[in-house]
Amino acid sequence: MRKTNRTIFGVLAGSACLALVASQQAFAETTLDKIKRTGELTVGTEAAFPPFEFVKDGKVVGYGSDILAEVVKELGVKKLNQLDLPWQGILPGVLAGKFDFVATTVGINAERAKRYAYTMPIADGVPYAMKRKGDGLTKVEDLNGKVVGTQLASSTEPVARALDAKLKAAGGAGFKELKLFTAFPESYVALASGEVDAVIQSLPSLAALVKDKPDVFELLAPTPQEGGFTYLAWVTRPDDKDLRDAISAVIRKMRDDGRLAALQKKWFGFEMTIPDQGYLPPGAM
Amino acid sequence: MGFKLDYLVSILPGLIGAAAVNVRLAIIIITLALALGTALTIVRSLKIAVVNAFAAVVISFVRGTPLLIQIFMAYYVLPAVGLDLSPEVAGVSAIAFNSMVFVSESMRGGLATIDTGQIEASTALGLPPHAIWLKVVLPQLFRRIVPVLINEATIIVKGTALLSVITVVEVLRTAQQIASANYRPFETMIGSALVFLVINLVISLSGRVAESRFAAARV
Repeated sequence: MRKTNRTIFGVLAGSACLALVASQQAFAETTLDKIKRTGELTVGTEAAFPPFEFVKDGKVVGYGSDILAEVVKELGVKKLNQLDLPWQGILPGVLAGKFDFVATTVGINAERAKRYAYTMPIADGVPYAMKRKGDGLTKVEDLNGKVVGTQLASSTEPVARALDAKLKAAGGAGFKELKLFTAFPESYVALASGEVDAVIQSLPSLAALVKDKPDVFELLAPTPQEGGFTYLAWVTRPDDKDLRDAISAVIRKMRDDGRLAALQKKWFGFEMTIPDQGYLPPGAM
Repeated sequence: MGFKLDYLVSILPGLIGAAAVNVRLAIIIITLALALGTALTIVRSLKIAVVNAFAAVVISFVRGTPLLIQIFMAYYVLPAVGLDLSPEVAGVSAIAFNSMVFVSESMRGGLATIDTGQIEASTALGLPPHAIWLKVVLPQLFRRIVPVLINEATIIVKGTALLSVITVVEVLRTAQQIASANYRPFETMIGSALVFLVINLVISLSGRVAESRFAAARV
């Protein structure tokens, strides 16, 4: 038994030393330098998030993919590796260095802005509630006593919780239940089948869905948080600000020459205003 | 938004195409798990105290933590100690390592059923240890634990679905992609379940065939 303990201790001590050595190694080359030197770019994407990124005929397409194509051109990238993984693995993945940056929209909020470097926004994602067509809900207050759904660990999860608290503060009953789904499509099906009464999600995604299935879904009302930030952007690791600025420069150029507005028309059916500043919470990177 | 059989039929070809990834990875993992499990069994049978103490720690870790966490560790934690593996390599390593332990444990159980008289006889005949293992012990051992190995193979096939969380686009992730583009998760989930079921039925049936052949050989 003593021998076993000693072995465990040895293994633990050994791996701790290794981890220490590995983390002490300073890499002089930034991610942007590496991309330019190798001509290779690896991005993390949730390719199950229409109309931003989704798979059609075996290819990742969407509003975000079109912007990524421009970024790839500007950075002189010859080989693009677009990894696809469920949303919950995206932010841990970029911090673990598994891809160079996140090329799938990340809702801006104060919590995340402390840990990730946001690019300039590519869309305005004001949170909205969506309901079944013809169910008699007309305003946000009608969600009292109703079952509401959204995606787990998404930027709309805290928005939904805040709305619940607001309804209760106003003397209402609050939601009957907040149901969390691993992916939004599951929440849409739950809404259509009556398992939930409303889904909270950012407007661009809902707009695309309502356009696609106008006989099933209807927009209810905007559900913004007090002092909340509603823009959607990509993120890099906090120490990759040069890469973040390079991506932002491409987005700004696309906005100024009208390419961004054209893509918004193509994918969402309406244009959005993308600001130069004020989209990040105070103290963000 | 109800269940549509014709939609399920329409997405099956795409899912079957994606199953090539699961089948390919499962074959690699099963081969590795058998080889590593056999090696581990032989090493443990040598009864070197330090080695077996270390093996016991590894085995309790593998048995006591969820496979999903082991896959996450191979992909996200190993880079911290300088081992940055690609998604497929990390996934194959994690599941093969996990299976190695279960294969080795069932082999250890099977070893007890082999008559010690045979080993004594082989030793008396002057057969070297590697010959005893290769010619006497292992052939009988593998035959006896075929049902367990078949079971482990089906577990491995199902385990490959977990690799969707570390960017391996296989049947499950393809199903999720199709579901999100068409807003129809039910049929895609059922479709991916059917694909796994068919793969595992093939494995189970081939296991039955193998067992009956061995039974015939013993008569």
